[in-house]
Amino acid sequence: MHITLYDIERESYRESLLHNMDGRVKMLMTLVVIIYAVSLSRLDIVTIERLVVLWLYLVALIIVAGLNPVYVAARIAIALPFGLGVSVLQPFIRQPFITEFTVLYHLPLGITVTAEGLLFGSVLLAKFMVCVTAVVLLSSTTQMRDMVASARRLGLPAELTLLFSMMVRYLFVFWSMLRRIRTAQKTRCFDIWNKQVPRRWILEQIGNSISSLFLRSYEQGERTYYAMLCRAYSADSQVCVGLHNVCAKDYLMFSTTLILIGLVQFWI
Amino acid sequence: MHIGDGLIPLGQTIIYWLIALVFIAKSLEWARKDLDEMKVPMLAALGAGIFAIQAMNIPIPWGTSGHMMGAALAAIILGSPFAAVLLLTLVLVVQGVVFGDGGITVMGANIVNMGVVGGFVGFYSYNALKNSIGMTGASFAAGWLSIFIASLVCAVQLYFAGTFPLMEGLLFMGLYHAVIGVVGEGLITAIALNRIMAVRPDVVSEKSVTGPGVAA
Repeated sequence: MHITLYDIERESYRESLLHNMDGRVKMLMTLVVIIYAVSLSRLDIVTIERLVVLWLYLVALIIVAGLNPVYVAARIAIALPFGLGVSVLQPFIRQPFITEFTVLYHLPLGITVTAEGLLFGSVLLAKFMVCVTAVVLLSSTTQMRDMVASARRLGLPAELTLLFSMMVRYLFVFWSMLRRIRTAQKTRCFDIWNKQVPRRWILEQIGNSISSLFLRSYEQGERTYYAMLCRAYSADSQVCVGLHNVCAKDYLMFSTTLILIGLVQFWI
Repeated sequence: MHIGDGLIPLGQTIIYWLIALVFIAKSLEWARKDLDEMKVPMLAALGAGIFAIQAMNIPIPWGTSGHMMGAALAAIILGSPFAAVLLLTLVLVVQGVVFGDGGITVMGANIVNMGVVGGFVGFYSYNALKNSIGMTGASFAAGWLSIFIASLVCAVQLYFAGTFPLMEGLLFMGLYHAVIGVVGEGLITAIALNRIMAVRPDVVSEKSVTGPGVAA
């Protein structure tokens, strides 16, 4: 399944307990879960047990949010390669911060599998899974413009808020442009793996498309600037994020997350 | 090269965040001075453009496809390494928060790698070479060096994190990015800069348009 920007935004427009929560609370919940997961010991089997419980909690929230399981699995799979690659290699290498290793298996070419490396790799992968799942949950239940507004309410400087709020709008414009470029290339039977045309020509076409995207974004910036000037824009302009009150169910969800983390930490 | 959450201990991620924040503050200062009030729409649109550019598949050796980083190209065209820092920060935040590509706690480390190292190496190597080998050669070298050096810094970060031994990390990350960087970053940066110079030379910063390679 190929996931695009549109798929992510479409999921965030659903209706559920989590979709209707305040963006600030969701962002803080995500941050707390990620920071807790990352802060756990890297060489302790208990860490894996704690992370599994935390991950199951996130899966429960995904079910409550009514997200499409295939979509969630695809999102996690897309984010996984780098973390998975680094984790899978751990049993075979000697980590700089570990002094003593217990060799479990001897493989050809002098390669060994160590117990410490296996544990470390498993912990890394578990941490990575929890963090990626938390981000997938956040971005699938919060519209991008709500994330920017929530970040502003949480203290993001006005200048960066303005930049992000405009960038989020143009992401869809340029994503759409990229899709049109790809469609146009397909209609001309352009294929980056076509062996019947010189590789150099293919690269030139890609370079041309990239320069076209760069120039179009530059010119879009110019046009938008003049349009904004017409609407009395100045260097001191700020984004109006509106008012939004945190309600009882937001407090309840946030407290539940904190209590769960407390239980995981002190009971496991 | 997007490091994910959990691969770097929390204490070290705070250090990278602090370094990144210093450069983000400096890049905002550059934007205020060099781009004035036009900066917001311009940088927002360019950030979205770089985001789309990074999604374009480029055929690289070993039968797989890669993506451009774009730090050197942005720094050369806008005439400052801080342009790359700011644009890559915008892109990395969206990639991390929306796509889960690169983590949240490690975002500072990713900004340092791709934005700061990529932007500064790309910009200064281009400026060091443009008068001697021309804009095309210099932009190729700048693109290649920006991704190659950034990958080495990434390997060093993973070493300090205890996640990967130094020599193996430098070898794997360096070798992989040295090869894919030739096509994915070097060649594409050179082609894109040439095209932009041919179509809209006024867009390219005056600081980047000197030397024997100027065709405009």
